[in-house]
Amino acid sequence: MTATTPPVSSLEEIQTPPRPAPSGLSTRLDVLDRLVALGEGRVDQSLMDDAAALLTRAGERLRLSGEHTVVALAGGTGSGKSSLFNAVCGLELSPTGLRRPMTSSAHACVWGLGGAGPLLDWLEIESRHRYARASALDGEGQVGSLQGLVLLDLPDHDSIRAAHLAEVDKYVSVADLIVWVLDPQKYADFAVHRRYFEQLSGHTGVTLIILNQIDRLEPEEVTECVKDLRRLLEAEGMGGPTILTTSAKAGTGVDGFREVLADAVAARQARLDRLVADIDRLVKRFEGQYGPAEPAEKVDDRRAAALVEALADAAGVPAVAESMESAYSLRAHDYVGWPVGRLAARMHSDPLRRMRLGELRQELRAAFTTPVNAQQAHVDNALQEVTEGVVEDLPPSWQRSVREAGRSKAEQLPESLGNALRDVVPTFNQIPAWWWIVRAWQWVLIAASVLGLVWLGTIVAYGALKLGHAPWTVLGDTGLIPYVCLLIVCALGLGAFTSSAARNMIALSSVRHSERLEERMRSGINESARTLVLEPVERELAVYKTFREELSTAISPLVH
Amino acid sequence: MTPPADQGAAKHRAASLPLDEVLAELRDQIASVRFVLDAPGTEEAETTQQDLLNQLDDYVLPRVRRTDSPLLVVLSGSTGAGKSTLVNTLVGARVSATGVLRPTTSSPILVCHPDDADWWLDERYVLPGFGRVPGPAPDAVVGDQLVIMKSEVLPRGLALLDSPDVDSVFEDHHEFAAQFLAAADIWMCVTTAARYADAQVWRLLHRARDHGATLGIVLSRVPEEGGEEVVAHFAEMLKDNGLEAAAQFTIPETKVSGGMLPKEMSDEVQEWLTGITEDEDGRADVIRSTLGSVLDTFRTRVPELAKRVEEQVALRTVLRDEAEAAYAEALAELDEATRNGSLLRGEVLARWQDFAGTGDLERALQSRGGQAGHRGGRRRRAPARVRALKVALRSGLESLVIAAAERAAEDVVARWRDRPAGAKLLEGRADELGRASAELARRATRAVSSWQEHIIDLIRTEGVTKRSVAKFVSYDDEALSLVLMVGLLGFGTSDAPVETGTSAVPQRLLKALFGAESLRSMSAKARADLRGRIGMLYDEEAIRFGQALDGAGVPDETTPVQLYQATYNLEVAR
Repeated sequence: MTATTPPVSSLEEIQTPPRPAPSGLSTRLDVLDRLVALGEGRVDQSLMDDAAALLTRAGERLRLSGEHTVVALAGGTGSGKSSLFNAVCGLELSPTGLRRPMTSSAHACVWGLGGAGPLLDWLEIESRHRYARASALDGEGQVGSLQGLVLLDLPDHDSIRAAHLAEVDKYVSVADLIVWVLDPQKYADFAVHRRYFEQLSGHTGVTLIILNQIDRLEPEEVTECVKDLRRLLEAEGMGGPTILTTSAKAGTGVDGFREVLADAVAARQARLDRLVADIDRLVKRFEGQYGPAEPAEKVDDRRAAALVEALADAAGVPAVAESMESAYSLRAHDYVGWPVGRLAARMHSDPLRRMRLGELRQELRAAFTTPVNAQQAHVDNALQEVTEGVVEDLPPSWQRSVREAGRSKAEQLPESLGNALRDVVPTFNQIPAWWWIVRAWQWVLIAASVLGLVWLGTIVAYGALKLGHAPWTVLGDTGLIPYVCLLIVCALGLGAFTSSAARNMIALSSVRHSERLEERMRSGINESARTLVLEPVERELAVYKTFREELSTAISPLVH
Repeated sequence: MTPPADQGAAKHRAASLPLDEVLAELRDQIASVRFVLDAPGTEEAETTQQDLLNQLDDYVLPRVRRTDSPLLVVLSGSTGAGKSTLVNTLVGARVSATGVLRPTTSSPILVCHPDDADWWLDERYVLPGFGRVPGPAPDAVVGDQLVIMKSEVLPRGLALLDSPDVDSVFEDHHEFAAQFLAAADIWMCVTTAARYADAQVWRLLHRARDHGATLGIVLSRVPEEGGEEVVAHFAEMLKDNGLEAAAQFTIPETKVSGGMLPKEMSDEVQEWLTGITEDEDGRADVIRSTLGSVLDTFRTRVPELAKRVEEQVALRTVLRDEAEAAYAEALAELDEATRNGSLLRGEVLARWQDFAGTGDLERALQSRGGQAGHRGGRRRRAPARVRALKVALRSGLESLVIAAAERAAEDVVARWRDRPAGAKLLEGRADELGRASAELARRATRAVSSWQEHIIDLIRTEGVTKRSVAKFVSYDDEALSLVLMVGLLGFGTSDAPVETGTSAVPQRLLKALFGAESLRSMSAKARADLRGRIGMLYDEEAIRFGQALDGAGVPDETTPVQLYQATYNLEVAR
């Protein structure tokens, strides 16, 4: 070693960033917990998993000793982590040397062992790598008390031993305070900057950067180096990083480092700050889940109406109404039609009968009013559009979940629509009283004309053909023939007239009926649409709204 | 008769082209490869491709075309390893900036004998991708400019290139460093006692080994105390990694003054380099050996690349198959829906009931001779019902077609999303591809109506009425075609009872009219025709995914074959 080591101001600069209020952690944990509960199954699974893992870790760490602060020394191979570890401990605990890589598993040194056991177990430090120091044993003249410090010496993150990398990642993600030990040769390495520093923008408060081995540089070179390092870190988003300079070999700056550690340990704050920083970093990843605008609370009326319309079409409401109208008037004709006319119609040749399919007619009539279920494909297509208007401002994952909510009950819809129609049908199978009256009147007229015919017959028999003596004179008086004929004609004419008048009335009332029927079917469909489509969509929108509100309380302090 | 050996030689001569032409051909083949589908290993394949191209452009082609050109020694290694310091020391002048800031060297500096300067300044020969700036140049020179410095100290025919580091935060440095290394006749890897176990260093050394370059390894900044242990450990690691053949040098940690080490520190390196250049045979050996090993590596690297291309082709087939499978499923679904009576619901059923129940169906059949009873009011309504049923059938079928197509499109997108390659292809297009195409509705209408027309034609041409019935019954083609459709779609061809009460009315009616044989043949024809038409629609839908694949420019099956062929040609030409 030919480089001279002039005394260098050990504490280059310490900037204390404003510490967040300690109460911030529990609020944050609560919010994150709610975000996870609301977003489960909806938001990107990897984000959910990370959030759940962080919640678990936070819970575990908070249950473990709050009297201890876990400080990890991380850095590249050959940066002098172990030397610094030993210098702080004041003993040769972790092996140091020139062979690279040197340290292959984490070592821990605890000041004040009480209650640290479970913490070390949680950290998975092998018991042969655990060392304890009582504060009282610390050498004379050393500043501050390190009581409550758990100092970890980590393996490197950049050597050819890939296993070390995993080990470092593990500890870097759980330690309360991370000390990155850099050296003048390696301070600008890709391996440390890309993998770690770029993710640390919110962790400035719980990260300490140490430029070790300054004994290799001239004093002015140290200043230059620190300036360059600071510039790099700030360019990567770490505002005001704390950079210390040390030389573990020459002992320079180690006291300053101990002092910083003593402060951190005494404040007992690093543990909480670390979790706050972790949560904030995670919450930032939720940013993509924050839609630009307040979501609509419900599907707008126009689209809801369009949905009902589409579902009505799917269930065939107009067709059902029309077919019911036909059924109604057919049935009406059975009652109020002029029986003589029907009799005449039956005389005509019937192709069905001639094809020996006479019974088909009955079947056709019977099938008339069987309930119809909606067609699934129609329903599926109707559901495609309904959520389009409300999802515009939603993040993609929520768009998906709202769309799915809209379709969640698609399978039940055809039957529910069918039921809505079915409920309406029976009331239309009732037979109005006036049909009976008209029917009775028709039969009275028939009876009248039959009587007239009989009368005419007796007049002809008794009066004209003199076949016998008429019991009553009216039965044989030929002079009455024109009147009796008139009576028959009148009765038949009245019957035909009644039938046509009734038909007109039926035509009018059947239209009215089908309108009412359609209206009632639509209101039934409206209900199905509400419970099976709109309500699930609105419930999902409400979930997103709550999620968004939670997120905005979590994110807003981070944005400005 | 010529001896077989001569014949073989003649054949050999005929088959082999000049080496540089074969190489240029190979270069074009490699350059034309595109890796657009993400799969495990694609990134490595792209790196391999870029490496091969760089090596061909920057080293192999210039070297093959001119064997007498100067040797290029590239110094590469970790940031802070002292590459610039070593260059300065070798040249005996401060040609490259040194310092404590990392990374120090940002613009590559090439030092050569003044007589060779013209060769290096010409961008056509070596490293054609880089601009040239005659040095000394201001600091502001960007990374893709080579600063050419002249030095009398260097022997003729030798140039030193101080390359940017391979491990600092500036990632563009890594790329340039890789490119310079590809162009080098001799690699000098410089690392330090603090870094010799860094993953990045070993990545570099493994590359050197795999590229077959003539290699010199410098371990610098070795501390005085305990230094032997480090040197021994490093040598051991080199041996474990199959690099013991490389020339190894050690430079102790020392005071740097004026950007230079004490002269004697670099003597060994100097001797090695001069030894190579001055001895004509040694020079030729270096060239031949580096070139030879580079071309040797092509034997495995190009087929490796070709294998990756084959994977791309296979992946494309997989994605295409997935799209086709989804639409095949949709077609099967449609088949099922038109068989199990699920179509005879909602509007179609209501319209059918209206049509059948009101007696319009009976009126579609007419007794011959007598004008069977038509009451005026009903008669006007009959065509309306026929029309309504026809429209309902059409829209029911359309809905089925569209709903199945929507599901298929969603399905393909979901399947593609599950694969990284598919996910990348879908980027920005998922919304468009995840839905049925805009024209589908129109196409479906057209297909279904022409199917309906086809059924009427079938009835007209094939529907030979049974003789016993034909005597006294005639029928209306259009109405009967609807009965056939309802029978076909609603009740299927089987006699399985259907949930609705109308049981097999259409079937019985049709059977009575046409006879079972004729009905069966008509049904089969009608069904096949429908299937054909919808199959065509779905093919058009599936094509969108095929186009997305083709548009991405995935190489076709011939590319890997050509690569294998080019590798073979190269072997022949050597």
